[in-house]
Amino acid sequence: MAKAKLDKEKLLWMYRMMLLIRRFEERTAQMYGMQKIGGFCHLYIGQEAVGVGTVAAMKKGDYLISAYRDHGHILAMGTDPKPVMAELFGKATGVSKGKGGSMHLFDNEKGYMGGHGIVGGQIPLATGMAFAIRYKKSNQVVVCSFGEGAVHQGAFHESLNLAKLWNLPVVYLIENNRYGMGTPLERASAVWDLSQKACSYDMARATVDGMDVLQVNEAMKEAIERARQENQPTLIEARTYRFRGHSMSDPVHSHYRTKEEVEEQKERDPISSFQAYLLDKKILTKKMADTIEDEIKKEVMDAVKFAEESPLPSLESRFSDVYA
Amino acid sequence: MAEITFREALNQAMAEEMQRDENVYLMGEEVGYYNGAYKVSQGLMEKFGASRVIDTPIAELGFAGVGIGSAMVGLRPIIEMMTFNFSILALDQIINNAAKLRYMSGGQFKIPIVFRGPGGSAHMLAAQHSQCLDPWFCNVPGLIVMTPSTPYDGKGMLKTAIRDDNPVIFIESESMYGFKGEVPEEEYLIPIGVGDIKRGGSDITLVAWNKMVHVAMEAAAILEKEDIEAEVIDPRTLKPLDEQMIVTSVEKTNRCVVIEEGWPYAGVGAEIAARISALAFDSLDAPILRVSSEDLPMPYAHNLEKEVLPSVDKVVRAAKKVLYI
Amino acid sequence: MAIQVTMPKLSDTMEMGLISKWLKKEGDAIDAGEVIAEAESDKSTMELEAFDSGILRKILVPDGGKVAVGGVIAIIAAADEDISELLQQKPKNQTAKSTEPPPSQTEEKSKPSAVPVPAPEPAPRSSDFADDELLTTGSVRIKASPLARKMAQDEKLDLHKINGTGTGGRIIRRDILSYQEKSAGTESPAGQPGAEPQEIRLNTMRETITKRMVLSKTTIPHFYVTMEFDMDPLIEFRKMLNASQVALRVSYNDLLIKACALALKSQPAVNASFANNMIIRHRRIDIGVAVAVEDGLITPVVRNADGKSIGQINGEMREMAERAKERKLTPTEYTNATFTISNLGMYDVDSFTAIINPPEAAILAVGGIKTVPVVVDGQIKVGNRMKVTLACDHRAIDGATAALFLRELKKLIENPFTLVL
Repeated sequence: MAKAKLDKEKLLWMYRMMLLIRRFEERTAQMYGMQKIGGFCHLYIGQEAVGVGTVAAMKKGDYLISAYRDHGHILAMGTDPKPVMAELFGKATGVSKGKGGSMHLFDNEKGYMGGHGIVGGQIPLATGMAFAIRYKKSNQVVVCSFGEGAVHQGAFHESLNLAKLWNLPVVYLIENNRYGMGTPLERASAVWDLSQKACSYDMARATVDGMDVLQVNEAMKEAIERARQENQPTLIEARTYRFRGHSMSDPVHSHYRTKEEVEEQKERDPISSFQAYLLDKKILTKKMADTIEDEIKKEVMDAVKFAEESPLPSLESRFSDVYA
Repeated sequence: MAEITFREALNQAMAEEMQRDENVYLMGEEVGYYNGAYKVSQGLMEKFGASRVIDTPIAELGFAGVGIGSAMVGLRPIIEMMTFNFSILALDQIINNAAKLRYMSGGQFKIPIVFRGPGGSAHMLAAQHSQCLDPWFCNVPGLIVMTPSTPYDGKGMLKTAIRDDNPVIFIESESMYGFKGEVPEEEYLIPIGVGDIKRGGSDITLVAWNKMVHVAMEAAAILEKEDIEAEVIDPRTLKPLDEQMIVTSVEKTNRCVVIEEGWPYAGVGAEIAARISALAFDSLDAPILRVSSEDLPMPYAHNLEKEVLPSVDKVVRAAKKVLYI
Repeated sequence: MAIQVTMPKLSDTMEMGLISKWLKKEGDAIDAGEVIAEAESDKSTMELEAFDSGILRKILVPDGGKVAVGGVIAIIAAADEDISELLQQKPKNQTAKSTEPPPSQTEEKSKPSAVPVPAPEPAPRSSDFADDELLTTGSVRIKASPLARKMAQDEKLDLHKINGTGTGGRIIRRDILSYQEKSAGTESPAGQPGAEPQEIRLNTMRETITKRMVLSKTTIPHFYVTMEFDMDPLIEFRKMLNASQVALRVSYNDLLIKACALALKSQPAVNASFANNMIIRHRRIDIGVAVAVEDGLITPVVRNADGKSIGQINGEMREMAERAKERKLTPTEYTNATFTISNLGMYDVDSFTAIINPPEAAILAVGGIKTVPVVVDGQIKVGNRMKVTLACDHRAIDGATAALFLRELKKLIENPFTLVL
């Protein structure tokens, strides 16, 4: 565990948020199995430290944009779990009024600029937001998260070139969970040390243990500072692991990875290791941990209840929000 | 009224709107220092500076996405495609992001962006640089597609496009940039989705847009010598389409020929024909015919190129066919 | 090798053919030379033969369907052959008059069928009007534009009564307007149900009669010469002939055919055609005789009638007239006469004039034999007389020639033994 330079409150927020995401996702899996949720549904279980460590480094007004494995990101950005679960249920009260679903969660007010379904498609958008920040001479920063599969897309390279060329305040965050669906990094990438991609654009870079929320937070703080103060982009690779399948329709382990591998990776569980650290530092007590667990359980169940009881979108609503 | 070229009209529209709203900026390949590949952005960089007239590397997907991202957070970009042939590289951003972000987010975002540049055929540029992609964009909900045929329309329509809160595909024409026309000094706007009757007539309706309007007008002049009064309708906006104007005209003339530079298969002409037959079936005295480009990649040789494209002669023949003469 | 079966030209004047009946159905095996369907031309019903063996894969013009000469009516191919290309293709040589296929076609046909058929060229169909796909054949449905249909519906007009002048006979606005204009004056008194006249659509034969008679009467300068014959000798002669042989039933027509043939021989100027600004004098004497059939008439031809005996003529006519009524004559049997006889005697007609059947230059209209008081040697007696009227094309025949011909004919009829000399 990296050495904490944070106050107690922040550390507890991080712990709580990681746990909320974990429990939310577990419940999501259950609801998916009960056919309350449809379509493609990608769980964040195992990767919580990356999203939470990142958001903990951001300020109000900053933007986060990510790919379709987005439940964790929107929760970390502070959106109430109720409309998030309602969106998964396809209800009118969902964050996107039931028009986006699991892959397209948005909360513009909170600075969460969306879950995006086309691999790498959000990277130029993040670059554009950073361009707008410079254009308006404001002091915000954009963090753009994507999987390691996206670094092979042209959109990634075009964006990094533009960000460096135009000195844009953006942090590109590779959440390297080792597999692009069923293809391991080794079979997809000529370069395995992914932050090296930054070298082509003479851009700052970092590689962190994505299972260590404090390490992620440290690297992100540095990168965000660079963006905010110097208008310089950074590429960070966070090495993480997903404990579940690529999506709900993908088994946890199959021919592309062994059960042993998944079990071994679970030893790195970001939540249990962070809990151990906090208990050890006496920031967290067993009793507090139990209370938090109970609160989160209730919060998630409330979200499910809310989603369950919410109305379906009206049929007329399908015609709205096409044009402004 | 001053007579100015098409490119000057478009240039004025951009300059006026950039003057009016500092959130409007122009981005694209060669728009700044080079003054535009077709000189449409001539002098804008000098006037507004490099921070608002931005040259990009050759990365259509990237800078299209940059434009959309900046529109998500309040800017009003004009993204110049050097030609619309290159917009194909940016289609993921245009179709999956510009057109859909508002809907997917349940209305949380506006995407006030204009993608503009020349489209359609050009002279002896062969298959990759000479093609009409209008129907590609028209097929996508969430986009607005505008395509002017005169300097007057060009200026009024571009100003509207820039002020609109939706993504607008604004298709100009390389071979029309030099066309001259009268443009008033005072400000005016041409609304989205409103067509224009370029020539009144009661015998046959010719629907055409962009430079095909000029082909239709020439054909109408020839038909007039034979006492056939053709009505030429320029929808100006292809999506949303001013179907009422077309239907009203067909109800009067009972026949219609659509002239389009695009390929015939699943083209805009097919859409217009389908709407007429749905909305004015009992008014039709003849099948609706289309004069389109031939269903071929554009050849280079001039004689072949001429053959492939719609022509005045083809329009006259089609008109006579539906007039049963 | 897949083959397109096309509508053959069954008569010189035939433009459209009607499939009266398919004798084979899709999937049937066909041998070359086998009859596969019956088709109706403007003149007769004909048997259609297949020229190639194979499987009747597709019938394109159903029973009752009309198609232009040369139009594809069916496809014959091997059982597993891909015929999709042929189905889209237009028939080759659709309008060519020559019966000899152009060399390229022969070459193509002789290609071994094992050679893979090249992928079809993409058909660049950019402009809808580029070919005349709007002219559909094979359909007998009334074609009318939506506007015309609406107008007809609103005005309660029967589209069957309206002639279409649009593409492929489509009824269009102007047809409705002109129909209304025409019928404005001739409106039948309203409120009399059942009083409406019966409207009969033209069959192909009537269409041909219509076309050719209008052409004849409007373009040929007709003149008419009438003469009366004493029929007593011919009546006697016929009695004797028929009495001589039990099987023989010689008709006045048979005798007239022979008489006309001999008269034409002596007046060859009447045995002529007028075509392409030229008078053609025929060496052959082929006499057509109008035979009434249901819905029209047809003219079987006695070839070289001048050289045939009355018995031969009688045999041929009897046989052909029978088949004519069944519409089974072949085009060679009813075309290319050099002179025509039209006899309405059996209907008690005194006399009438006929319209020339172009390109022939003359036609003889024959009235009935009447028993009338006649003056012989200053005495009134009872006699039998018959009037004939020769209609001539004045471009080929002058009045005196016509009179000479009739006088010759009179001589032959009134001296019937000369018919067998």
